[in-house]
Amino acid sequence: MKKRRLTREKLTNWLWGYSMILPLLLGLGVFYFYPVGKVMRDSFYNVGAFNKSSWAGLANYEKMLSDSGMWKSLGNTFSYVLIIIPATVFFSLVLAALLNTKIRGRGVFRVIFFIPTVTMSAAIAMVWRWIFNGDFGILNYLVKLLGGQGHYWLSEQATALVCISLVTIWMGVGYNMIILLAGIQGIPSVYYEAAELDGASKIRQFFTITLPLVTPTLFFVLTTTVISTLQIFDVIYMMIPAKSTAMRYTQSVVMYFYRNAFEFSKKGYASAIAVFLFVIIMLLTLLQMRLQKKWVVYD
Amino acid sequence: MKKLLAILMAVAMLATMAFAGGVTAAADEAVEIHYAYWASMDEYYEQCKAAFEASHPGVTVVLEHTSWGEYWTKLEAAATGGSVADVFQMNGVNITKYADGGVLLPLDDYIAASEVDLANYPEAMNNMYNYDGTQYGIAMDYDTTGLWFNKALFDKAGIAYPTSDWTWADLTAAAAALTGVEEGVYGIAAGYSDQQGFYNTCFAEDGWFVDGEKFGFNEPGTRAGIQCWIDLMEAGYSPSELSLEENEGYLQFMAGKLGMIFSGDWMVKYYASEDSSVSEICDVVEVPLMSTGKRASVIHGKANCISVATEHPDEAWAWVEYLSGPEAMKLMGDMGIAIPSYLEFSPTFFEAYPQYNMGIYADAAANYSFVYPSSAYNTEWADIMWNELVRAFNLEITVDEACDNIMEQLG
Repeated sequence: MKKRRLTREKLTNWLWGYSMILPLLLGLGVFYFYPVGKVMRDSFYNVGAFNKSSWAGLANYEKMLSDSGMWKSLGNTFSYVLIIIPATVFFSLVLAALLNTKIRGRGVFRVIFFIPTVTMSAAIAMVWRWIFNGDFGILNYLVKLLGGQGHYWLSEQATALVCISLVTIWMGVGYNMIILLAGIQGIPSVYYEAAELDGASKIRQFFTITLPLVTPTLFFVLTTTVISTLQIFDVIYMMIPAKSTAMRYTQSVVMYFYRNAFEFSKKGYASAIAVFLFVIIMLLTLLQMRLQKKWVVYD
Repeated sequence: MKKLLAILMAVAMLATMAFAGGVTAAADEAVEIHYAYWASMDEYYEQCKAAFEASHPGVTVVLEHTSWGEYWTKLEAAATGGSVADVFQMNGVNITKYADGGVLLPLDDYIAASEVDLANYPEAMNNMYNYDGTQYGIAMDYDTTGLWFNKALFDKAGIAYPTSDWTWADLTAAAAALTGVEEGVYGIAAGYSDQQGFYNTCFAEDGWFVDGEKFGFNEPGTRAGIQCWIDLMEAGYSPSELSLEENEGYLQFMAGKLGMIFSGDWMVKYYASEDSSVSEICDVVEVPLMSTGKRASVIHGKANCISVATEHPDEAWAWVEYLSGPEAMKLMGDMGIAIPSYLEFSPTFFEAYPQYNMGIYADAAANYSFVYPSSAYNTEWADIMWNELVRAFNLEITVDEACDNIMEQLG
């Protein structure tokens, strides 16, 4: 073993290196690590309005166990995951595969599908709220034109969560499509040429070449979508007013966290909810990392 | 690489200079008073600001409007972080929380040393902003509730307009006659509404909501005051709760789709506006008498409070004093913004809308008003009440079940 010696050159290198990442580190420290630590601390305290706090021990976590609102919102969150994840992955993969073929105007289509991603979600929510409106919405107009019966889509128990999921899928497909498209384009063309010579059809090529070789990207898309869906908040916040019958059918864990922290001034309890969600996300992500050996192909 | 570094360093240095420049500039400037408010009255405040700055050289008022939906979240975060506006608008629901939280500057000494006389303001409003014997805010306006009606729909249904002798039975009969008189027209908006709904009927039925740590949802009067709205819902004389959530009652009234609606006085500026299709054909009357032979209206009003953290308490007080004083109060009434809390000038608001019977709002305040229910942990009980009662308004459960659930959760 060589003895590690701090040469002058090394020191200069380190200094440069650290000074380069210092701005990022400072930003992360102030806006990320400190708040994370603060939330973990607060989860063991009663923190009320204006940050007045007192030691609570495990009371916040115990309260969570018997809080029906908490379990309802956890159930809602998993409903979102079950609807949004398969649909987002499926549609973005299909779109990516189709937009990888040499069709006319594919640049235009790529832009069209990507537009929802770069549009302000507040604007998106406003338009969708109008579409879904039970009295004046265009959706009910079309449904009635076809002889169906109108609904208060964003207020009824049976439809509100599905409508929010649809908007979220519509917003998320473009971004994931671009990531998958990049993955597909990274597959060497020799595989396709060989398959072509062997007479494999396009469909066959997709399932035996594209799909296996795009799995590393697919894994990335799946993991990030699961994480972001478990944290679903903005679409609910903008489409469901606090005083809406549908709030209890649609509120996610993060929405419930937000209302506790900022509407009911129960920041300690809200922090416990945040920590609980963090643990769930971590476990699910670890599980996915384990499972990836079974289906992700790295060459 | 060297070139890039040089550019980055230059940018960094420029940023430092810009920062330093900003600091020096701020120190040289006159005193700035930041004023946070939610009510949509920008034009009124612009005029107040201009007049105030003219009479107080060296003081600049910075108006910071936040919409109602975000106002309280933002204000609490700012108060917690120590960056709250010097002066801000307050309401009856939140005053206890803010006074108890030590965020507000006690005003007693300032009031004693100034020309402000609390006797000029409604007693209910002074009490609302007095916590533990200390005055924390001065009311700027007050609100009560009345019954608005669409004359054209009444004519079409061939029934007489509401009068001050009306009982709830008369209202129900009219709602029945009005429903369906035109396609998609309902008699009344009977969805979940507290200040402009069941609070008024409950108080008239001798019900009550909160008194310190006790709650009144077991009181027969409270339940009766809610039941009367549910009866209208069940009879189909009102748009459904879901409809009224997606398209609020006042909008449906303005669109000519509702025969009647309970509305606070501040709604008049919408009903009289160009966007309203009923501005020429609507009017307002006192809310009907309930089974007790009494009527009731909740009274509420906004106030101006000063942050305890302000660096310029004297200038902040000067602004509060100006806003509560005769000049600003008269302007508020003349512009038809809200009922000025300065009693002498309250009628100016009614005179701004001579086409409507606005005087009933002053009668309500003087003769049958009840203070807006509030308690130290208000947000929580109000949310529990909402969660359960909205199910009754959706006709999922009965009023008794909802009230039992509320009492159970409030322990």
